[in-house]
Amino acid sequence: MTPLPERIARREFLARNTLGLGALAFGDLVRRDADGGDRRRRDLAPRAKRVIWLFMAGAPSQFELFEPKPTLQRLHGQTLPPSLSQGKRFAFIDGADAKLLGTERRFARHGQCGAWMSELLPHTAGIVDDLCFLRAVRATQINHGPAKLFMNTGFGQFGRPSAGAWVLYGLGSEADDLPGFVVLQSGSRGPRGGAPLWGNGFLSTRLAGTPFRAQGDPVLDLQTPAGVDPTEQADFFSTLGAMNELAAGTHHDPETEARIAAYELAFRMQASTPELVDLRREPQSMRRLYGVADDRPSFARNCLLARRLIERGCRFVQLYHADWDHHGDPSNHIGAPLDARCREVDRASAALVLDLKQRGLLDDTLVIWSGEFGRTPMGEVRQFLGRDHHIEAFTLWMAGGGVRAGHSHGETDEIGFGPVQGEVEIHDLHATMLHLLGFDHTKLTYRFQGRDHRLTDVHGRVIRDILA
Amino acid sequence: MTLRRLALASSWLAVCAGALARREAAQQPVAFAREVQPILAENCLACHGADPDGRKAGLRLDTRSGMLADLGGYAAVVPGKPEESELLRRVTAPDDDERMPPAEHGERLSGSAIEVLRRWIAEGARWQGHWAYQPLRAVEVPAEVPGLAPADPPGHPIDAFVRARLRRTGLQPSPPAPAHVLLRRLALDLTGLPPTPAELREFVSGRTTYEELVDRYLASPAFAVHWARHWLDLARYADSHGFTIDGERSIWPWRDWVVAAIDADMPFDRFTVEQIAGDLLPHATRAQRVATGFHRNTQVNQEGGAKDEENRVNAVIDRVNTTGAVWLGTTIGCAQCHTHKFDPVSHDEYYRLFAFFDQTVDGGVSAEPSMLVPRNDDEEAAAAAWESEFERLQAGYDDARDRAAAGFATWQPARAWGSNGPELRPEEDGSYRVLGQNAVYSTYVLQGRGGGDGFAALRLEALPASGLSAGGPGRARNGNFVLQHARLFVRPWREGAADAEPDLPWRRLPFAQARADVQQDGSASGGKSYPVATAAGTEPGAGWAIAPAFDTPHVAEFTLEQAVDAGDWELRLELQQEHGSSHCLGAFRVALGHAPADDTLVPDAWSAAWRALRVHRGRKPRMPTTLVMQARQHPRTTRVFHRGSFLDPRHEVRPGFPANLDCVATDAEPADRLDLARWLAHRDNALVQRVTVNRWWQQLFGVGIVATENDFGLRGAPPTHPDLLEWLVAEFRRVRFSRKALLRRIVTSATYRQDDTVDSAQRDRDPGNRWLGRQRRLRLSGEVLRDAALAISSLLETRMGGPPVQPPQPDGVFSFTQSKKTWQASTPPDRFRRSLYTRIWRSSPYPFQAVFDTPQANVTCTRRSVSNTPLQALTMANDPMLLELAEGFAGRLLREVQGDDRARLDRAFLLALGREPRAAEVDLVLGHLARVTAAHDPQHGWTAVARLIFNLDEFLNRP
Repeated sequence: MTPLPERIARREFLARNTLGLGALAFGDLVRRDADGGDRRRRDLAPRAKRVIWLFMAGAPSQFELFEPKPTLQRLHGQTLPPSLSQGKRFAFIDGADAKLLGTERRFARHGQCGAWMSELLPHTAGIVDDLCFLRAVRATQINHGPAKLFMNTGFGQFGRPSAGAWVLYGLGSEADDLPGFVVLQSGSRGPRGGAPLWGNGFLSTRLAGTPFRAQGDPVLDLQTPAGVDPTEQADFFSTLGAMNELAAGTHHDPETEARIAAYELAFRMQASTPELVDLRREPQSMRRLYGVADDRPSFARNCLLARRLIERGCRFVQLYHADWDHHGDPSNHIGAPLDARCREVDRASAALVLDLKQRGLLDDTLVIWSGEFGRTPMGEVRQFLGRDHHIEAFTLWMAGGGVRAGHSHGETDEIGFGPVQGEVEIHDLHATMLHLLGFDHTKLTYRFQGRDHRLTDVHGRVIRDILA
Repeated sequence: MTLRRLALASSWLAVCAGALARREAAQQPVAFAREVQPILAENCLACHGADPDGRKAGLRLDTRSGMLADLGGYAAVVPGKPEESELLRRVTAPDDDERMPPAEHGERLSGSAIEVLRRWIAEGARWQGHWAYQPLRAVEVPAEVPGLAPADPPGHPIDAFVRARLRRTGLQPSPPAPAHVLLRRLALDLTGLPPTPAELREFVSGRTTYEELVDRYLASPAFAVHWARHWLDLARYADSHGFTIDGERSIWPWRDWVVAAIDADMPFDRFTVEQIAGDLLPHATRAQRVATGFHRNTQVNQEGGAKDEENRVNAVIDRVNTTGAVWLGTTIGCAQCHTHKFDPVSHDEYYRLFAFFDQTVDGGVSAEPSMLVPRNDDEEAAAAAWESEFERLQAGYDDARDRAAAGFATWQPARAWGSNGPELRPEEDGSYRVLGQNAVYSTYVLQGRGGGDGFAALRLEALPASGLSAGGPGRARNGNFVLQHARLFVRPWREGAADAEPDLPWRRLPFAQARADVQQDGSASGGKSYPVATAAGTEPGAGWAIAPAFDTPHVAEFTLEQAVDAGDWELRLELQQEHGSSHCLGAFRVALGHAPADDTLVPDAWSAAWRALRVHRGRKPRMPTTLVMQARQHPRTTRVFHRGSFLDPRHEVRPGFPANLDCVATDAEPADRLDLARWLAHRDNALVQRVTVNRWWQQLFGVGIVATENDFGLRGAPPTHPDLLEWLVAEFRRVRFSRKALLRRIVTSATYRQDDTVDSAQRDRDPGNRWLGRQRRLRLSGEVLRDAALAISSLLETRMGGPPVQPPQPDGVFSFTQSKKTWQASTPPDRFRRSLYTRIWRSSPYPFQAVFDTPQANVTCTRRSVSNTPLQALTMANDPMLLELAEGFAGRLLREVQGDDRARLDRAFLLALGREPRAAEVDLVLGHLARVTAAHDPQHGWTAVARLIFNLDEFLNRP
């Protein structure tokens, strides 16, 4: 029998260096045997070590937030020229009949870089010199579910691994007592598309994002069961470990070692996770910076939690905030509901960037702020004013992690319908993210069903212009 | 075989000379399928494969004729002459500009790969089709090989194949597993439940033989429950529609059909035919129609903005791809957008398969059709009576409607759309049903060829429909609509003319007059009036409306100022509806003809027939329903979708089988799903049979003989034991496709019964157990773990069938779903049913199963991934559902075993693990028991022991 210190060292190795969430799974071994399996090579100098993705689920309107278009204001009320609308697909409106809609929001230039920003995002306006805007991003899917899938997995249907799973697959986790890929959610409901947005696809299940619940315990079954006191719980885990050690000595199955490690991590998570999510441990000033008022679930809490997660070695944190869809219905239009959404995320988004910067974490943490597509320059008229889904061009921003600060890439035409230069596809965004993390996106592959799959499929090019 | 090999080698010797050649001649000739084809598939076929679009230099290397083709004085391959073969010259070219594959596509070929190609060409470039697509090959059972420990039991053909291969690796088979280990394996594999102490006693004492226990387990209902779950993975079964709304659906009668079919050992060919096309069988029974639910397990996107036709097409695509994975073991999905790069399914052939599934009435945003599922004779009679009466009334309604429209011909052009988002779905009766976005205002446009016989009037039927608010015919909340203007245009028909063709202008056909059966009159109440003449444009006004005569058919008839003569016309009808608040038509039909003088537009017979139909719908007997496939009466034309997009249909295709996968001799051209089903189930379809037996093998050994169970194509893994796979298929045919007989054959082999211990030789030389020198420990599924805990705690409720149930789950599971679900935990005994019956919401699967890798039911799953995570540890250690079972287990031990703790512990181990505890284990467990009992009481102490046992690595695995 292997001496105990060596066994523990091996388990530590498996638990930490592989993924932080267990050890080599049997399914993976089989896949590798059968299929050729994984190819991961980090062959570029990494600029970023981790990613925080602030996902505005429902798709914010670039025309109300980022893109003042004087021509659009002038043409307000007119229909789109047929040369633009022909053959284009919208979810609800009719491209030929819909009328252009100027914005009622006021815009001003901010910072050294002079980026335009609307009055709806005053805090974000204060950090524009740390941000890099992509202003001509093109999406492919017209409905929310498929579009979010595409944004996350590079494909509009179920079955592919999410970007977070790919990153964890390539880099592993540095977290000792937490999952390496965590999903946080705020707003009225979960994002359209659901669990496949952070799914592992055909990669190992250990690479899937772990959704933390917004209230109470962040994962299910974290609490010691009712009636079991801490002494019994500790006794349970140590007795179980000893029993499983005996078993490992008889049949020599490496999976047993992995399971012992998994139970040890589970026990540590029981202790560490409540501390992680207890934001009262943060100083009052920090909670105020983020706008965390109380213990209720909020985007602000999740931003602060995201920083605490990456401090503890978490590799990929994704935040979803719901209800950015504004079609013109009473609860979703570009008036009061949009004001409310912006209030919910603006202060905390900016605070996260400032806080990371203060702590020296922004240099190697990539922050992405995006929806799944944009909104039309034409209005959608229901009971209120709204804008329909628009895939020709939209705006997002990134910060830290080796992207150029105070920079803008790409531009749309005078009414913001489509790109005129610096067009970026979602595969390009993925390629660039992987590049910043030290991967050639064409070489981070996994063999499945006879094909080497990539996050960028057969597409993607690194956006050189935004690299610092 | 050996003789042929010798002959080949000697003829080759005659051609070549020299020491090198003699050394090579001693080797076996290169095996094309195993050695050459993988090199070509990996490095060449992406550009030189079956796909004509991507093919470079006109060269294809996936067929022999392509390889030998004259490329202008030279050829890629010249048999027998490596030095003249361009293929070899290019893969060895020193210059990067010349070498293949090009630098941007991949690395240079390795020296050994080049050597294989060189030898293969030198040996004459012998070609074989891909093994998996060939007819069944006859194989002989190898003779017992010397040098191995004797097989126990001796003489099983499976062992002969495995041992012959094992001998070549130099490994020894493992000894038989100890009796209690073997029985635990067998019981868990066949029934998903651990063996009972009584069964263990019988078997260990030798009173009952292994074979008797195999038969007992195969005959038990638990077998059907357990093996049905495997099939449900393939079928992507769930109790909800999926996507974000994820509404509830009723399709559990199909799940019960699967259990019953497996329990009755329905032969796999019939099992296939009934699920693919049971509804098309002559005199199809209700059960055969229920069986077609297999392909109704597709998802439905009910999100606002989701398109009906897009939903339907996505469902059909899923059916094609699932059929490809489940029956053909082929990744057919690639051919949706382009010809498959590696496997022999062309873009057209994909849509020929698509055509089989394109002829159903299902799909779209509504999940219909469904059928009644009676549970007893009384319900059977009630269902039959209701259905036949419904058919009679429907026929009566159709007849009354058509009579009323005498002299008119229905016009249903291919193109029909509405502004602001609604979708106009053409129905089989010639009408349109308006779906999707309930637009505030919308103009409907119908455009296409028509009116060829000439016409003088246009007839618009505004139809009531179930599903419309207040019965319709409008989509406004009260069932009304306001047709402001109807405008008709004509121009000569020309194929492919643009909507606004400059040299082919539209000519407006003004109306002279109009009449309608009902015109909304507000004069009495001081409100507005909506006469039809205003819609015809002959009088100014607000348009035509019908309040308060909702939920009944109406007709407006518009007479042209000037009749249109016979001719080849294209027509365009615009129905403008801008009243607001969704006052748009919900269902309507258009006809052209010559108006009779003064007929009643809506005769009483027609409106009475509608009322009767509506009353009858309300009397639908209350009993379960299930989603089924239902064929259309009028076939759709299937077209190839360019690059996979349904918005870009191109040329027409007929149903057909992929030529290269077709080893079944057929003469008739296939027409419908039943032909497809019979082709899949055909006795000669070796591919389907290989894929099926391989998946069962995988279930019992963890990995199939073909490790890539969903990819038997060129890039899949070759079989580790090709002859054994062929033998299993032959055996499958011999036992007439009996699942139980084939499984019995496998589990009675010595290979299955081996020990699972990994010795160092095994670990070093065969870590993945490819050569089957041992059995393999397999982590149990979430379903089996819970079921085993239920059985051990004696709480298991074995009642089968019925609607899904809800065992307890932790609070807050739904915090990530878009629409919140309710989960009212069932009370006993439903609380303790087998996990097969646990409700499955696609958007939030039961967490205990999800954490143990139960697939999400979005797409077919041919093999579950097996993970090992701390979240599983947290679940097993802390989940209240499991703790309740641990309490039950403790109660049972205290109740059933009088006396000392040691006796109870022995009993606990026997129940859960099938063995006695070892001394070191006794010390550890009794220590834990003593400490917990001292702090609490014996029930608490034994609950702690039960919890400990549920968490043991040994409990979590099947040995």
